[in-house]
Amino acid sequence: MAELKGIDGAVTAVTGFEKGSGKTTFLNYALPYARESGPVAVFTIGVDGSLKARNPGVAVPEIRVEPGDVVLTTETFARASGARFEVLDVLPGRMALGRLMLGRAVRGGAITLVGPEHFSLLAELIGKVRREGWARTVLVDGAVNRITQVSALGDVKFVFAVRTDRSNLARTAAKVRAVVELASLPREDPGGDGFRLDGPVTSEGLKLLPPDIERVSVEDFTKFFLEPAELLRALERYRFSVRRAFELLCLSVTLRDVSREEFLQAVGPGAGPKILFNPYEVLR
Amino acid sequence: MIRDFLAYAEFEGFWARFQPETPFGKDEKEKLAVHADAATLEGIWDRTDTLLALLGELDREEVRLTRIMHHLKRIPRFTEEAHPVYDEVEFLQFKKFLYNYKRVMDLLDRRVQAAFGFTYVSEPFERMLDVGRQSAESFYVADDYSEDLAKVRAEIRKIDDAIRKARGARAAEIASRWGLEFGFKDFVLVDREAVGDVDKAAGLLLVEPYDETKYAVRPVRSAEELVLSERRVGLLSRERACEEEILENLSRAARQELPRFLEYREVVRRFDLSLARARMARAFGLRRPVLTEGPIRIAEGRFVPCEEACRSLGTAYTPLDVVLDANVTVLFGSNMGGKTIALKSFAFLQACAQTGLFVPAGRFETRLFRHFHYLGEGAAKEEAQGLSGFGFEIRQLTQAWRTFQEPTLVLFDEFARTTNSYEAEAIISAVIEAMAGNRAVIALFSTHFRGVRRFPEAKYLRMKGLDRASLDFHEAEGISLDERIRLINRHMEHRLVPDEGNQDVSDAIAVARLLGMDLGVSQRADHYFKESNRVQE
Repeated sequence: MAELKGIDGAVTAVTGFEKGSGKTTFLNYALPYARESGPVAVFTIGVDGSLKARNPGVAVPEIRVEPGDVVLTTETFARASGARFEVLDVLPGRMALGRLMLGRAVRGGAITLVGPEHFSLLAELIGKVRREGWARTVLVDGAVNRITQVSALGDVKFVFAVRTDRSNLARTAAKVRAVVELASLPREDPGGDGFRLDGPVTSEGLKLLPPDIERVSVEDFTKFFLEPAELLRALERYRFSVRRAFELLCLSVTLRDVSREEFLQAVGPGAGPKILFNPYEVLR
Repeated sequence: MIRDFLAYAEFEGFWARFQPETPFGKDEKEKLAVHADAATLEGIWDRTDTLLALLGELDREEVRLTRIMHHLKRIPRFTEEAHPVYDEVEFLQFKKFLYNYKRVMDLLDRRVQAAFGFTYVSEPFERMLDVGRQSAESFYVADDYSEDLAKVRAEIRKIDDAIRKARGARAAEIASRWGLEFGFKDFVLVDREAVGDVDKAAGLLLVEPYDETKYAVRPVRSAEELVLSERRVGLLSRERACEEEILENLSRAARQELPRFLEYREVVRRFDLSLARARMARAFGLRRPVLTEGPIRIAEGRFVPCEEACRSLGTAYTPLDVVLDANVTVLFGSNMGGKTIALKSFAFLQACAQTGLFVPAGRFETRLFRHFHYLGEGAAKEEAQGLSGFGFEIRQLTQAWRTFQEPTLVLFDEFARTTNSYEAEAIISAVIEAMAGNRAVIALFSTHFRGVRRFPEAKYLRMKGLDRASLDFHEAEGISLDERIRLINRHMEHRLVPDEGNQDVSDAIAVARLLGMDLGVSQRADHYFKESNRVQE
């Protein structure tokens, strides 16, 4: 099983297959580790659905910041927070929830993250945070189903948050296997002779590949848009490589009514070393 | 009309390389303002000259230039309206603006400061935004702003310590009873049997079912912690009231300072735009245009898009030299002879000049125009549905005609090329006749129609064309299209010479032959061309 290593000094995107997969819980868990090597910046992309709906009955996801942490939020949330922030920068424009500001916590507390809708803007901001020396380590709450765009953040590591119960164990296990397979695709050698695929890998696209092709070079693993079974078939048929590799740090797995052994058996031996079981679980 | 003209001049790509650094400069760039006032342009060019001199000096002080650019890029927008209370974000913008504006100013010598009107009298306000421990480019309502705020925050810190202790005590109780360690976690998941009797745990643990085998448990807050938390809420409310009072006081000062901010903004906008113009002048070897009431003179005028294309193709580029001493000039020339490029070169230089840039020319003497028209292929046709190409051109001409009482530049690139040549020649002749002598208008025509009438007030030029003396048609045999194009370019003289009205040889037929037209067909074409010339004589 995996340990939480490799986030210090890096940009790590935490993403998941679906809503409620435990991304924010994982972020709150990872933050104290990340802080061990200096100030940390925490970002999200876009606005959480519960904020958009403005439903007073629904809890808004928050993270707990400590002095020195850098966050992107709105001026309104910053004021309402029990934490206090030094304003470092302001993003152009105004959202319905107020202006986006980059703040450095002067006093700890809980804060709701709000991010820009576009990854390119977030990438610029991450660059700035690191250039200015405001933080070395960056954690991004990377929004579900937007893995492809996360690659726009540049040199980024990944954590997949996965939540499963007995009803979706088989489906989740297949997805986990697919992610692990994709993340371990070899990097293409410079001047490699693989068939170069510039666009996404889709089932229709695969049908159009010349019949005698064996080696296929793809931009990065986020460009695969295949169902797990289809993907596994494609991986058997072709020797894929990626021109840009992203490191999969771990799969943060939260289980309900499923034992660790059952889950490990379902995902197979390849995924085991990448799995970090729910750190909130107390083992006896 | 101006958009058509600028598109014809291929100016927008060049304008994209004009790179102001501040938001105010960028706003101005977006407007793409075309100036028709001589004093405005001379002012812009004077400032560009000032900064060209500065850049020359800074060649020996690279670090100073880097620092100027660094601070210029960091100048932010600020709220330009008077607000009853500005928030922290708005104060950050004020503070960051002042800091970087002042740094830019300090890096300039007095001569440059005076030329742009740099002044700084905002030290008192700047100090108001820099209280307590905060950086020059961040803002925080620090404890040092008021004793009340410092007191309330000290109380919050005490309460936070007390809450931590209370939580520690509760955690110790839980650990001793169940062996559960929470650390920094709000909750943990434990096996159901580890909790035992849920009712008995209720005083210390908040227990919720997680799944069939586990509970999610979190510590129940002690009575002491609840009291402390309630006090903390009250303190936070007092803290906000103190912050609000400080922001109101700062806002009063900010409102008073606002007129100065607007002055600084104008200064920095002018400086930013001028610096971008000067940098562009150096990058592209641009020269200051000269405004004149006399003839338009272009010496070594470079149409940068074509110059760059030639460079990338490895072909020679010929700059434009011409004197336009009549208000109507007609350019003849064969295909690939460079008529259109000559027109575009003038349009490009004029666009540079009237947008405030220096120009890519050895010398460019020109006048200013209020209206710009381009009539020819590629002009926007959104509103012309239902009209033929010819109909559209006539409609454009009709619209352009309305501006001919005011300074107008109008370019006709192969006007009426889609209609019968005799009729086209008649129409073009009539248009030239009507325009000749109208000093408000400068018109240039490029055309293949050699039958247009010759009027004494108009000027007739032609592209020099193929250099027959050095041309060997055998060179074109068996070579690729790219090589044929290079061959034609090598033998084509792209310069303007007076047109005497006669044409003994056809460059078009020669070009067709060089491009691979059948030899027999090109020879017959030459025969018909000469026969037609004899008939006209």
